[in-house]
Amino acid sequence: METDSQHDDTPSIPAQRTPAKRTIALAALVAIAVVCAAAAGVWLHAHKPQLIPADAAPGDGVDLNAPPEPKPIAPVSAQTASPDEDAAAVKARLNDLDQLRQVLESKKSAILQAKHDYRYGILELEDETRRVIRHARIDSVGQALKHSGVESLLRNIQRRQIYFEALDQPLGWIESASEGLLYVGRRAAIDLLVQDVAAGVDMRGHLMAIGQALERYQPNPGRLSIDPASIPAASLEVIAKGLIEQARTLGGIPADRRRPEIEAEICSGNLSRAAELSTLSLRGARCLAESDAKQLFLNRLSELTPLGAEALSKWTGEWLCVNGIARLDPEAAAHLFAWRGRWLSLNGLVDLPPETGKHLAGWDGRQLELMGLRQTADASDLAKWESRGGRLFVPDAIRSAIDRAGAQ
Amino acid sequence: MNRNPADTGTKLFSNARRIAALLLLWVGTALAAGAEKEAELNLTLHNLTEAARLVAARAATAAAVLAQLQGHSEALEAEIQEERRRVRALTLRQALRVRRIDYNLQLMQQAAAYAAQLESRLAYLRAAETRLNSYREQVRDDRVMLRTLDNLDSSFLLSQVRETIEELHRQCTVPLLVAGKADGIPGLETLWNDIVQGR
Repeated sequence: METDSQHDDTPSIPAQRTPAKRTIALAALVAIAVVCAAAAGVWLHAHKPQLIPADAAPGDGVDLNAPPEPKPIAPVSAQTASPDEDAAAVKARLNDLDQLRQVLESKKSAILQAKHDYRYGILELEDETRRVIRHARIDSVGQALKHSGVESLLRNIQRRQIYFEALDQPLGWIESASEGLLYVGRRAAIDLLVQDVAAGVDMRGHLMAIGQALERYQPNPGRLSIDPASIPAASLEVIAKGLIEQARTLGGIPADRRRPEIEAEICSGNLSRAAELSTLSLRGARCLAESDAKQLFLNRLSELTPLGAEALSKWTGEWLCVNGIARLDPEAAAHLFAWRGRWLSLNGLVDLPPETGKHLAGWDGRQLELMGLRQTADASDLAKWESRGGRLFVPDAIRSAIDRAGAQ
Repeated sequence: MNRNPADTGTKLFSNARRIAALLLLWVGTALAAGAEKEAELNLTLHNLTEAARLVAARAATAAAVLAQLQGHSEALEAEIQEERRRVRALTLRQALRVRRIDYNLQLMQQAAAYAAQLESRLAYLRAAETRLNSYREQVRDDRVMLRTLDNLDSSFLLSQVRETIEELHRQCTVPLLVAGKADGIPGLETLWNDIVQGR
């Protein structure tokens, strides 16, 4: 039987349960709301409503002589990296291109140096061959080819000529490769320049082109190889004929019986008799230039050819005495005054033509002796050289002319 | 029936109050409408200024890239001139045998095509700047008129301005040029002749 107290308690039970039910109901409502919101988000994301259509035409009320609006062109290649990443990769690869170009340029310099050496070597051999031809009184091709010394010299000339020519093959390849790399790099650089404001820039394409160029233009031995057999060489007969003719008509360097012997000593490092040379072959000039001597006294030399002067200009010594030279060919002067020594004695020089004077004015040395100078067309070149701080020794008459030129 | 003068006075006063209230309501409404229009014009002026700033920035970007491209082209042309003198090339055929000239001409073509597009965009942006300035003046004039007369219908102007600003916002986000577009690429012969004649 229920008591009053039980009746009183009965309503108290639901009174205690109501907040719990409310909490549950509230949680359910929140959960439903979250689910609805999530569903709406998914729907909106999937449908991506656009406020402005991507391909909307320009507004009808707007007339600004508008050019057709640029539309991006989809890159041909599949994109896996972002355009910015591709651009960064291209920039990095441009450095690789530059490095490879430097390697190629260095190789090119080496080849040009080798060609220069071969050219000079050929001239040296020709010089020597003419001397032997004159000395052995050879006047026919048959005699020349039978003479073992001459025949050997001719073969060496021929070989060097072939090598000289053959180097054009790798040289051409390197020049072409270097230009190719430059072009690929510059093309990419132009697109990098406009990349931020342009559509359709195919950086991936540039990356591929750069990669291919780096592979294609690697200077491996196979690509730089030469094929001497493919070079049409001048026959020994043709070479001999030309040299016999030159020995007969040009005369070459006047006979100096002791010269080969002295030059052989010089080439083996003994310069004790260098001052006795009255003529200088190209080989002799090269050996002198290669010596470690600080001073060279070649006062018996009466002539300096442009090629001889070119060879001597590479000598790293300090004082060069060539007081026997009375006249200096402008071409020889260009080489001689390119020499990087400090002190030059040319006291036998009597005349200073304008062209020679211009080369002299540019010489970087510190002391110049021209005590034999009798005339100069223009003393201003001497004044110009002296004004750069060099010490100039000249006769009084020339000094007066220099002073006058300096005063003007 | 005699009316009480006090009642009549009360009625009159009451009517006058009503009329005054209506008048005040009308004036208030008119003033509120005028203020709203002025606020709209002010907002439009602000939007025009912002749009002009955006267009000017875009034009400056275009001009800067264009200047750099022109610098590139000049450097390429200088190299061509040097090579031309060195190899004594007179005709395009002779010139194209020199790899550097050939490549540089191709690069100049590329740069010229880009420059043409940039110049076109630049012209568009400059025209847009002029148009925005013109709109700014018109809106300012309308504002003066509105302040003077408390009423002016600027809805047509404002709608034009809105369309223009929207369009310019859109145009300022599209690329200034499209790579690979064939339009505006000068022929090699044209380029070469210009170089030879020093144009």
